Amino acid sequence: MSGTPVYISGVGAHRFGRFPDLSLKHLAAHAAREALADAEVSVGDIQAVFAANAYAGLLTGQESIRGETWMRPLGIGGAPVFNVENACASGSTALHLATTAVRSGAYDTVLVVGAEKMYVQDTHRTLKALESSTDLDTLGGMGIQFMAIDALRVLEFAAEEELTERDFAWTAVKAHENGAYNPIAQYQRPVTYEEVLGSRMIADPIRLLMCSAISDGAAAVVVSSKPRNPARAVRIVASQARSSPFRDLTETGLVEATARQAYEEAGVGPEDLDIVELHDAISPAELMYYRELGLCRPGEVAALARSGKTELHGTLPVNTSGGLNSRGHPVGATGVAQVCELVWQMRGEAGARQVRQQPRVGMAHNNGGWMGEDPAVCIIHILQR
Amino acid sequence: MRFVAAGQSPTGKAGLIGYQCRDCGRQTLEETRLCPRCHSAAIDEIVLGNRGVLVYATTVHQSTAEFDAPYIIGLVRTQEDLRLFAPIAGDTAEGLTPGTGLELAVREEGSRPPALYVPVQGETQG
Repeated sequence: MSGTPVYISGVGAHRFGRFPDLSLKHLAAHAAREALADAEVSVGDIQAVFAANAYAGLLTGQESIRGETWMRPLGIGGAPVFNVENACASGSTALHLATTAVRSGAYDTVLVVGAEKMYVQDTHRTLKALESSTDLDTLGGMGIQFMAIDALRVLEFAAEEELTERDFAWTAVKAHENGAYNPIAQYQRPVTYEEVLGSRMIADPIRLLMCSAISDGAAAVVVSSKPRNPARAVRIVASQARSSPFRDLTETGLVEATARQAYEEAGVGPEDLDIVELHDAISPAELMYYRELGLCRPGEVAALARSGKTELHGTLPVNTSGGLNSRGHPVGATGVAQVCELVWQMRGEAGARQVRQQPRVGMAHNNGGWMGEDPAVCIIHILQR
Repeated sequence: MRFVAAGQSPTGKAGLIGYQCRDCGRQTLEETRLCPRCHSAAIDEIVLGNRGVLVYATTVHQSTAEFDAPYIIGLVRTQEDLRLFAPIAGDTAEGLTPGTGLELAVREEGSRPPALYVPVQGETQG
């Protein structure tokens, strides 16, 4: 990456779950304070804030200046606050912008906070908000929920890769096994194949326990070119963002194209990765991204899944946090939380879910929305320690 | 998904509204001002054919405020080889095999969904 070297110097999160009595401000402040303490900096050191959120406008009515409302209770004023919305990739988009800003030399130390409250005691309202992450002119008013889009993508992909219902269930079992050890996860309980395959059908073949649930939560990172404690800092070696192109099916898809750019920027290949956090908004999507992120070749997805390589103590652990499926998916927080997990693992601070070989190179992959043949946005970060 | 009923259609059949580049012929379903292939601004709004083929279908079991489950959403390939997600008539995708022929139906005003694809009996393509 050209320009000033940029590091994650601190991370923090509020547990994901359902917190009807806690405000978005409370969640965001909790995560931000943890990240500041972890980076060994004070609010006075923060030169800019990048605040990520997708649905507060629709769900709480706070459509504008969301980030400013979160930061003021912490005494952060004066420093500019930038509000970032990019559907489920809002958090990683904020991190991308923060990285770019610090790399340019405009700021030395900035804060990224992603927070979301999706639980409003009315599932229909939340589903309606989620629907707005598509082009409503194209997909609105037709009953085309995200779970239906995901189900159809999985059906198409499963046929290409000869995947079975058991492979789909394995992704949820693996996610919950990891999430069980993650203190910030929404679901901290392992589930069995029987429970997954016996859970309610949402959109065939996607069942309830394969879905990322409606969630509240927050995550924050401090991004700095001058980390206070360099020994604990993790360098951002790639930060790539792309939007969905008009394309024919024969042309490279969005996720694959973004991954290629990220590998090129970092000067590493998929074989160099030690750990990956990827966007399993429904758990079987993990299998799709094995191929699209280049973790295996076309035709080898089932073999990779069944090899155990991507399990917690495999050679390439994927979603050690529990992923969106088990950690939870409070949309604006997700992309930031993925990076928190990589940092905890790379520092050896992941507790009961710490992978055996402390990872040196890690990838975070975050998608948002849907347009045409692809997610509307894809953001990939590669970290190195 | 924009569409026109048979009565208002220049083709005399219900159709999706699409866009076509006058210079390179590229067709799109999403609103297009500049051609995504050749960047020409000479774009015509057109009415596409009313036939398609099912790629895959899913039965949705989760109701929304506007749609009572179960209902079917399909990935559809139109006769022009454009792909879209669209509602399919019926309440279970079981027995709806990939390749099933589909015909677009625009429904009475106020219906939900306002248009959908109806499987054509006995018509299946590879």
